[in-house]
Amino acid sequence: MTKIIETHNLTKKYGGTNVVDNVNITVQKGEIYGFLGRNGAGKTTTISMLLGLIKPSDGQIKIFGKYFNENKKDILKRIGSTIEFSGFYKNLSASDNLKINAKLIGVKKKDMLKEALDIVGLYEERDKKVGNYSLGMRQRLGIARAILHDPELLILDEPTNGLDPVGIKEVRRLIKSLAEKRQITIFMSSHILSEVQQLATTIGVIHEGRLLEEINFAKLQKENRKYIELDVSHDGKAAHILENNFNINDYEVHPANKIRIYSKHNKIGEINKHLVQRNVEVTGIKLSEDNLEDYFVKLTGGEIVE
Amino acid sequence: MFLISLLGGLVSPILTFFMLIGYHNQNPDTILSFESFFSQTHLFIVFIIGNMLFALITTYIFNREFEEDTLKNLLTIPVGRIRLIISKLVVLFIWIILILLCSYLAVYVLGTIVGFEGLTISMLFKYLQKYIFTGFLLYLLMPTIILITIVFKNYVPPLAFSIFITMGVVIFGQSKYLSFYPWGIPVLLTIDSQEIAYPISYSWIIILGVFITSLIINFFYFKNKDLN
Repeated sequence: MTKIIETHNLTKKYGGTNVVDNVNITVQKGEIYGFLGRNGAGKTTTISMLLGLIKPSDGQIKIFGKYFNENKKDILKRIGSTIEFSGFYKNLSASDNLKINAKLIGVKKKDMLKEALDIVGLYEERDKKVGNYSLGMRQRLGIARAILHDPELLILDEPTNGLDPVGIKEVRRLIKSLAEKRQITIFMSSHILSEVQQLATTIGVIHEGRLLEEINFAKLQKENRKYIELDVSHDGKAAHILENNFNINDYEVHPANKIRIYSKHNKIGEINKHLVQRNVEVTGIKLSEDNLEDYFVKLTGGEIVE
Repeated sequence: MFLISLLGGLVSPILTFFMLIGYHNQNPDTILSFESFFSQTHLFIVFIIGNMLFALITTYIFNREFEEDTLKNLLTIPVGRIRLIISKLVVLFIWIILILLCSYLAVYVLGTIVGFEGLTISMLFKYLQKYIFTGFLLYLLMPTIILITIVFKNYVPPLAFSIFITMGVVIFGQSKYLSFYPWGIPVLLTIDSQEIAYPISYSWIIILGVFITSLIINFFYFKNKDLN
């Protein structure tokens, strides 16, 4: 797979503190990378370095296979971004704000403005002054501005910051649609696990400036599902009973005669009885308490806001 | 903001107009002359209004991106940092000249309506040159305001500084040391009756030195500044 973003020992020091500490991120083409971390973990600083707004103290950044410092202008032309709350000229309309960007970027296609506003659902509000926009509308307009020039990579810093549940849902839908329909690689930061959960294909967890984990999300989810684990005398027989008598197919057989049942149900007592009746000894039943929230809590040593 | 600044440019001619009319009413023997109207208006601009009004405009132009939080977007387009400053400097220069032309035209229009006397073509050219030259000299001092603006990202420090330097112009106005006070040099170089105690070249070196030095510091600071 093609690597779109690579950082090598990316570091930023303020005073004596590494606010970003030897971060090695890899983002593959076409994926949605969820950059997850608490407030103050170093997400925005990392993103600012990726966009050239802050100079790294150490380390390298490669985007589209090229070193950022040497190819900054060419790289940035292929990126669309939003940083924290999107800033606009409040006395101008949405349309006028986007026209300024279009002119500066050199957008040639005539209907790109309409297309971008359509995608974010703001075409009808295009002549309204941005000063009269709600926060959600401004966040969406920020995304419109970011996609105006048809970028290959979107870098979004907390795109749902400050939005209400409806706004969050809209932005989430938008991001998903952009990734699917336009095949854009998306790097988005958030401090909200559920937001990242619903979108990301890969998650990078940053805490106190250090990248603690970078993992494929499907794999992570699979490893962190709730389950009931049975210690049995005969796993094959037990599996047969689960399938035929209880119609349970979502289970895994683990070494040492352990069976993990992932599907939700409340028949564990009955399962136990059936197994015993069929001469399958059940020597232990364990309910897993771990889930994704707990996983990240353990990883970062605290609570992530839900 | 542009219209408001043009109104600011009308302050000098309007104040001067009422001052001259008032004086004429108290001393009917005196003539309402275009010469005094142009020169008094110019005096107000170069001594008091110019520095403060242009500092306000400068702060507006350069603080806008911080105030509206649009700078991060601009720099990721990408618009180069130095290019951004230069383009704003060009806008600032045009804006200053337009305001001075507005003042100049206001004198001409008001004077013509009321019937001021003594207008000649050569006077019109003389004061057109003087007003534009004044604008150019005041413009050379604006990079100091730009620097304060981009360091503090706020209107208050640069405007407070402009009040301070204007007071300096008034205080040093009649002093021989005006030649060395950068913000007093436009007074020295544009008011004919102003006494020049030291070679003009000193003043030119100082005002150009302030312009180039503050510009270089601006470029260096802004180019290397982390935008958090």
